[in-house]
Amino acid sequence: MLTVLQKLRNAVIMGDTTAVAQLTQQVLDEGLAASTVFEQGLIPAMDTVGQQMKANEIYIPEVLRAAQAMRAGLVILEPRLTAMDGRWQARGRVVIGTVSGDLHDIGKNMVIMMLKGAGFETIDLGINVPRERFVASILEEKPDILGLSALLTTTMMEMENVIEALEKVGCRDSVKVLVGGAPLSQAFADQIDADGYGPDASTGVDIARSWMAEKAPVVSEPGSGENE
Amino acid sequence: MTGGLDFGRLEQALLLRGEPDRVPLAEVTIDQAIKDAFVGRPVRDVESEVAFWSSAGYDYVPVKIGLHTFDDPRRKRENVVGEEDYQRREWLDELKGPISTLEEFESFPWPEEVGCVDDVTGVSLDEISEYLPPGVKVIGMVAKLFNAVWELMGFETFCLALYDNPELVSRLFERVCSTHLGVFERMSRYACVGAMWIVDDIAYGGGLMVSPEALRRYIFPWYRRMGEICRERGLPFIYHSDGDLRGVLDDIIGCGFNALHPIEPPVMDIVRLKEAVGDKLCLMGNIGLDFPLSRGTPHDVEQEVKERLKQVAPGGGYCVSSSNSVAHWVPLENFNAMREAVFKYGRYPISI
Repeated sequence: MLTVLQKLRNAVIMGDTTAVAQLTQQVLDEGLAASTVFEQGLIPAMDTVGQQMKANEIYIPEVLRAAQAMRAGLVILEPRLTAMDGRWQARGRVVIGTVSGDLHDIGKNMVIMMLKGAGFETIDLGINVPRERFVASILEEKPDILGLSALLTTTMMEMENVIEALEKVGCRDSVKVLVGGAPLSQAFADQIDADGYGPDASTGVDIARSWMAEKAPVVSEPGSGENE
Repeated sequence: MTGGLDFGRLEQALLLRGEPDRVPLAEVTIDQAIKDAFVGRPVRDVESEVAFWSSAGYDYVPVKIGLHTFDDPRRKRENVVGEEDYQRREWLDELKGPISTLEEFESFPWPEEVGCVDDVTGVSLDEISEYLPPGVKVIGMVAKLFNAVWELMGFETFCLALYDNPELVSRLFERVCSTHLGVFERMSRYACVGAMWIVDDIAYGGGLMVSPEALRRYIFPWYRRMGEICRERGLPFIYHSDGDLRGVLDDIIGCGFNALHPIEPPVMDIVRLKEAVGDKLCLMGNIGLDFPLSRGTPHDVEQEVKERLKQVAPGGGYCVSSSNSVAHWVPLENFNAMREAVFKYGRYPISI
């Protein structure tokens, strides 16, 4: 017999937005902590989605539906997570954008959805982002990770300019740079001194998680919780 | 140039009829800036278009239809990165297109019958024959079937509609693909057409955009109908899609395609592909657009071409091509290095 959390995970994976909203509310009404629902319900579900996509068991439409369903649960959880007076912390903070000259959106958005599903806080700078805006955002938001996306061979060269701009203002060492996009390769990432390259959204999230593994203690609400 | 121009060389490679005199060159698209620089003047009419392809060593001239058939100017955003025409890049909204409901489908300004006129160059199949040098034919290209459907919906909307609104998805495929089938059939009847080429991305570096089941339901049946036309007319049938196609190679073969382009590295290993399906598909491409064509030196390009010729050309069934297109940011000397390496090292029997 499945527990409600197991049913919630399955509903996210199947992209059942209605069921996710219902089950999220149900587990909260039953007394489970919002952070537990997030960490033991939504996050593992999106992990599974990422693995299935890497294994070519599901494709972009199924990932988008799962992300949509995950958001339906997150919308219910977020006010409670926020109300924990900072005791609940995101796994990490990521500033992300598509570089200047490039208007591609969807790859970046998929990474954002999967980062959220993995417990990260994301700041989306959008598309066609000048290097100066990336730098300003690093100085203001102090993220753990900067994600750069590009889908053209010409625009991906801008990533190197962004990294150089970070070096010029002296904040390069304060942030890990993760790059991704169809024309990229590990060789290119190495050439421009990026810290990591994600050939797909799921791998990008794995890299982000590995970087944060030692940095992000997550504090649950005291008392209730369900471990499965 | 080794061997002169001869469409028969290309046909022999496409139909896996052994080794022609040398490995053919092939491309779907060569950017206008490259053509202009190669010829030394603007290439803007049918005569100069034919002159470019012929003097560059291609045994055919492409006439491509479908890039703009279903354009809706309301949804385009333009990003100008330079002053030249080729630097005006047009963007579609990836999230939501002009059609997301049946009502919008019904009220969309669908095009009337599409003429056999190249979308970009304006070259018409009615006029091109008199300009073709001896030995040169036209390859009729029909672009964007699957692509046009998701562009009309916006990619995200399309993905969700596969589940939430399959009726709209079906209607769109029927409408778009029947239009393209019509122009495909008309193009294939021209005496100057020596082969037909579908240009329609269904994959990217990470894999297929949608499930094989969705492709089998919505798009492969249309490719199969076009393949039947080619078979009836004795025309080689070529397929271009970027990305990782390994999950649907049998389907591609089953649609009647004789050749596959552009064999995008690194996800498509051309050596392994030759071993796996080289007896069923001519392989075209795999010379990296990023490296060496864009970021390498002419020597890097020559080395890559030599390597591919050595690995893949023996026995026939290989054409040298970029792994996507010859984009305007490819240095002209690199484009020339690719061509010249084929002329220098691509004569059969290959001995490198």
